[in-house]
Amino acid sequence: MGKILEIKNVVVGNEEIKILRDISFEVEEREIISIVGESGCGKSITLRTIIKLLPQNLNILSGKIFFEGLEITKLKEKEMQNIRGKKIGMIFQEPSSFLNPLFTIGNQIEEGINEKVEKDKKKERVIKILEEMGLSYNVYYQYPHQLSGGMQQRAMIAMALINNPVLLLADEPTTALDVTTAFGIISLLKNLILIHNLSIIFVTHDISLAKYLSDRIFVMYAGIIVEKGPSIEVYNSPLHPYTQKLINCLPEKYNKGEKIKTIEGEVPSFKNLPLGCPFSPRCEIKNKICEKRIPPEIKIGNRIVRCFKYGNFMES
Amino acid sequence: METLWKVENLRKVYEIKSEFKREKIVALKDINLEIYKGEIFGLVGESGSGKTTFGKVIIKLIEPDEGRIIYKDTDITNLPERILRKYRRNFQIIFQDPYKSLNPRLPCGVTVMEGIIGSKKEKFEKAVEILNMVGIKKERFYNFPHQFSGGERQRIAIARALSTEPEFIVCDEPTSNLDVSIQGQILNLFIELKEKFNLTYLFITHNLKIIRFLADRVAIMYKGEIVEIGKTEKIFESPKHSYTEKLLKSEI
Amino acid sequence: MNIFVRLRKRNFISYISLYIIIFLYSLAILADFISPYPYNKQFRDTPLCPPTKINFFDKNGKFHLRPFVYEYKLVNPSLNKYEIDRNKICPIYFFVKGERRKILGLFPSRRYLFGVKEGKIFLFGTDMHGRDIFSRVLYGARISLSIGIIGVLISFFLGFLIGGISGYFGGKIDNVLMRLVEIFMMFPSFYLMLALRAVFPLNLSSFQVYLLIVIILSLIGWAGLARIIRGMVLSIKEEEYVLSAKALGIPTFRIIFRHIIPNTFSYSITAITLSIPGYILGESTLSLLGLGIQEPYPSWGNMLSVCIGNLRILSNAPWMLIPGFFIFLTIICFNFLGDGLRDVCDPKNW
Repeated sequence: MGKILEIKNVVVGNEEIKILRDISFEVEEREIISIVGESGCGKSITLRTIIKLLPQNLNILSGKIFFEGLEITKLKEKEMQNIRGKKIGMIFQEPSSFLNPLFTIGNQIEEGINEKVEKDKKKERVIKILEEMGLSYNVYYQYPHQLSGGMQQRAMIAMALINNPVLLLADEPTTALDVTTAFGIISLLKNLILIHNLSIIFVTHDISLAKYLSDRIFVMYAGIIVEKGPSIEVYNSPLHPYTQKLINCLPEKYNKGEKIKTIEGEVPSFKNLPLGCPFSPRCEIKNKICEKRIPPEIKIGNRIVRCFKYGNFMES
Repeated sequence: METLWKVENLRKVYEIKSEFKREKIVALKDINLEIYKGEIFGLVGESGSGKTTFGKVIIKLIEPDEGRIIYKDTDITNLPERILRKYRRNFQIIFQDPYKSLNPRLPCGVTVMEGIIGSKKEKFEKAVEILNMVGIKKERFYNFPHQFSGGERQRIAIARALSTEPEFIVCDEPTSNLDVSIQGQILNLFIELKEKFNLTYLFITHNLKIIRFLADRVAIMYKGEIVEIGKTEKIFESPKHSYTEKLLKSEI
Repeated sequence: MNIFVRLRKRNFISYISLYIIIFLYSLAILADFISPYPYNKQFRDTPLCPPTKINFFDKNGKFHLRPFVYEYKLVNPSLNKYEIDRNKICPIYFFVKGERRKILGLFPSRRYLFGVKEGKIFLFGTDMHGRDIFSRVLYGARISLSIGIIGVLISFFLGFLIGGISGYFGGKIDNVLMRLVEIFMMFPSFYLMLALRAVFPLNLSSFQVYLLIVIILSLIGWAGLARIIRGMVLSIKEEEYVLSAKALGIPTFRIIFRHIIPNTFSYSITAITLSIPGYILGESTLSLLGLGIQEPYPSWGNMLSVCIGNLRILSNAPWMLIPGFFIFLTIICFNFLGDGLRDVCDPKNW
């Protein structure tokens, strides 16, 4: 399997704050990656960095992003436009705000087709992909408000996949949906990677969902990926203290009447991040070194963790 | 077990009027149920199933169209607002979105003080005490809602609900806008307060994991109807209705 | 932190505007003291006299510590040509004695803030009757600036009351009140203004006309406001914090005044400051048409109205347009202030 996306030591921010600090990861072909973290940890910004659609006050300060071997950090806006939508698709949490209420679904998907083909061919292609998403032929002629939330999300996915991209970025696409509808979307995404030769980066705050859906999980905390590894291993035997505590917060881990073990304190704001490991103020096993330096990536088998607990740092 | 609430044939129809058409949406379809004192009663359903409407109707924030609501031994369905006001202090509500449920122009301590009866000094002292109980320090008494994080705001909303010393609280998805780690803290708080004040909860949510963890009995709502009701373990082990089955299967 | 400090930190332009507005209002209040002449004093021998220059150096280049003016002499009455008599120096004094009048109608005094003992001082020139425009601008400010405040208070009272009732109680009350509002809004406001003015006799005293204009303008202004307040109340009363307050058993009027009305402030404070210029302009329009404040009493509007359609004045005596500059200054300051106040009144910006 080849690498589709490779991110090397990316730092995103501005003079005052750093939102992403030293982010590195790869995405293989036909792989589903989940980025898990609490709100404000920088997981959505990571996605937006990949397609270079950052908010105005943020920039990529250093690091490199390779997409299919091409370094996209240096590309001009115009060249990026050829990659966005064509090679990389994206879906969002609120499909209703990304669909134009004044045009039919068919119209909007057709608009995204990049190649110059006849109108009939376009329509055929749109209907084919709609059916692939489990939507009926009629949806082509319908307006967004006539669809339910789940159907809108399916239409969004169709729109993202119309140009057969190789990478799909999904920003919490199921958070706003009902349990049963969300389950449908998740199953759909799992099937899509086989049909479309697709890789997915899935951003979510729900680690159980990440475990169910993805091959690998990246856990993010305050702009740093603290743990990377195969989903089931990360979920069942987390290495980083934050991941351990996060999984311990889930109510399904407890019986009725038990007290949930929560994480004391709050997520630090980007304006005053701790000097060392961002989790150190809430960590029970912290050492002196944790407060001074950000831990490097430590490889343990096929997993990577950023914690001084591993390796020979604790003694020094 | 003492019955706290008894709801009979409750019905609520919303009428949507626009220039072109009139639509009727049945939010609640002949609901019958009882809530016992001291239990956590879970209400599960997808969005638009009428579960939030039920939570508001039972404490008369919305008027029902038909049916009876009996609180202890009093039929409160048709009580005028003037008399109902005395009862209102006994049942409170906590909403899903703590960003919307606090008045942005009132300092949080003042919001909590509103529900307390007494002299100004008594009000202040009691509000400080309640806020302290939910984990908000006295120094932040005069801070405005936007100066608090989501979890802290939900704590303030809980403090406000507690300020009238109620015996019943409707919790309308109180943790679904919160992060997982905060959700755990709030759930712990709910359990702790229940034991301390002998509270009864109507816990509305679409999160089955929370229901399994929290609720003694559960009702499954689908399109305005209660399709299944019973002990939580029993429903989770052997669902009878096809919708319940589908719901349980979707749980990841 | 008080409102001034917050305003300065948040929005400096509106902070300055606030001071300009305060300055303008104090000029209006102290008009009898500051203005060197009464508003109706005519100098028949100097009509359309240009603004008097204030000098420190005389024709020999000698410096005078006390500023002085020269006397202006009308040399050609048909062309309104003035010549400066450089031989006669008229020094400016503070607290000079003049005609006896009552400051603010209360304190009799003969002292004026400044003036000349010989000759005349016209800082903004004179009009065709030889009246000092500077003095008239100050007196006119009393009308023009107070009409805005009083008019806004009346129309906001009506707007909040009717919009609030309509929005909160809804149903039939809402229906009836909103139809009433629509009737008011149906008429083009300009013609409504004319019609209302036409109903009343023309020979009213200045004070009666003043009251009449305020009432007419507020009657036109409240309807649109009531509609917007109603819309806001309608949506705010469904907010969860209002429901929570209801669940706490808080009485209705307390809910309205504590939870609903304050949350309309982000809009209404801006609307209040932004609608004051409307009243000033409304008065000017009426005066322009000769239906407003009547001569000899000045308002900024009726002072401007003289210039309309009179090209000779516009080209030969542009200082007659100075009241227009004051209208412009007031309006722009109120606009900036409105912007600033909206920011400052939102607790999120504290």
